[in-house]
Amino acid sequence: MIALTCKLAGSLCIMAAAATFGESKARALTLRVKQLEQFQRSLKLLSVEISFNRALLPYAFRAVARQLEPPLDELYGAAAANLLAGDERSAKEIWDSALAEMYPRSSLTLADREIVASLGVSLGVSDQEGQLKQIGLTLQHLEIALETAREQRQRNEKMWRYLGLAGGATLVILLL
Amino acid sequence: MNQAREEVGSFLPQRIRAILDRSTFSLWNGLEEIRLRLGRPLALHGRMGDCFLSESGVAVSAEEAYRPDRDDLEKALQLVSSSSLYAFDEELRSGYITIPGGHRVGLCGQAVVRDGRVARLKHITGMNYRIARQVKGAARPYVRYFLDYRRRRVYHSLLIAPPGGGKTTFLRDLARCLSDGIKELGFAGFEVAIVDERSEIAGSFQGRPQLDVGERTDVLDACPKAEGMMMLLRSMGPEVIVTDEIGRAEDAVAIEEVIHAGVTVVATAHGSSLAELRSRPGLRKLLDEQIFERALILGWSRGAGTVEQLCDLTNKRGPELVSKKGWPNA
Repeated sequence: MIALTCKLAGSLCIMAAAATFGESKARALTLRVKQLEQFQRSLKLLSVEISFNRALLPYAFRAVARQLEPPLDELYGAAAANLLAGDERSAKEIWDSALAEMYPRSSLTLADREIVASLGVSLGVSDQEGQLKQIGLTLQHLEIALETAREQRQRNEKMWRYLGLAGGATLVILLL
Repeated sequence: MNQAREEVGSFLPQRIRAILDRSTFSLWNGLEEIRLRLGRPLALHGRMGDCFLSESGVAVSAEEAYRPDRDDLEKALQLVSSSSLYAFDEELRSGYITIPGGHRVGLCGQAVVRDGRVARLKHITGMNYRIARQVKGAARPYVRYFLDYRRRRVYHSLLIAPPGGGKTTFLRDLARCLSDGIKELGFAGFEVAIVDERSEIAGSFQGRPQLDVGERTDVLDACPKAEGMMMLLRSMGPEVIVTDEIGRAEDAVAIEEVIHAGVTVVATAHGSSLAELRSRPGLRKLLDEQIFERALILGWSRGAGTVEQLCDLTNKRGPELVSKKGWPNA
């Protein structure tokens, strides 16, 4: 009797773990799309700050950060704080280090990270036209990444959920 | 002086700042310019004269002096522009950037020309940190000559001086005095509006005045003079409009417009005498029509900012009200 209870409890644990695993995989796909969309939004906000408001980069970043959700607000927030601190790192170096800090907490792929990093290339060292061009270029790359991310989510979101449950069930049957 | 040290220091690249910090003599006293030129000696200019600094902060000959490299200049530009060159397109065209505290950094490099006009500077090879120093009280002894007690207004006035003669310093303090009011002179202050085309009068950073220009003063920063005067006239209801370096034909048109609206104009012009100003077409018209009631001529005869002459132009004989006086605290 006790053995049966133990087995039941064990299998439930395995099922739950497997389902959570599947769920988290599925969630990561959704989050990636969401975060890429947020980044897209942030670029549009940034170009308004640069072209219309002529805000200085740290203040532009801060204004953008306020309108974003985690973890992307941290990226802009940290970059703004470091720029204001007035150390001698260039805007690109500051952007890269803020990105390195934020990346582990995001659901972005390495390829996405490259796109985010590409914004930093001419950050603060070219004129307005050059700056907007760079943002436009980043937006173009982002568009493509966003399309694949959406496709992947559609294709794989349900699959990961089922796979989690099915995998758990298989494991339980094998172990029983 | 420590204020300037802090304000300007944070916009100097680390290496240069360290050199200045290592320097033993009281270098910031009377310091006027710090010059960074690519591959050329690091130079200071001030009341004490000129000198070159070595890496250990000692005044040395040109051969032993520290020579800023490309990296120093890039870092300096990055600090001065807050890593936001795009926000300084206009400044890069005119060749200087104002930093907090009203100090200005002059830039030199290679001009990018588009459609026959300078679009911006690139490859910055020279930077000149020019330390702004407000001389509060410079205009105070002369304020009473600018007041028309009978009609409770300020006279239309023109301040005249050669470059570096202290025009802007005097103008800034005059604006401050007129705006704050002076109890002993029995006036409470006027609504003053400044068109600060070159950000020199108020030393604005991000539109906010960094130097004291008075409690009742509005500053229209970086705005072309003629257009700015008309904007202020319509929008802010000023009693006195203050502006720097008039001389073009459109300035004269705007000034006439302002005067017809019953608003006082206080302006400056490059020159050393009224006769010299008459040779410039834009100004001649204003002088011939006797628009200005007071003319103050500044010069060098007893140090920068000596009041050489203060004339009453409403009187045909143009009597001198004051002549040859240094600034009270200069």
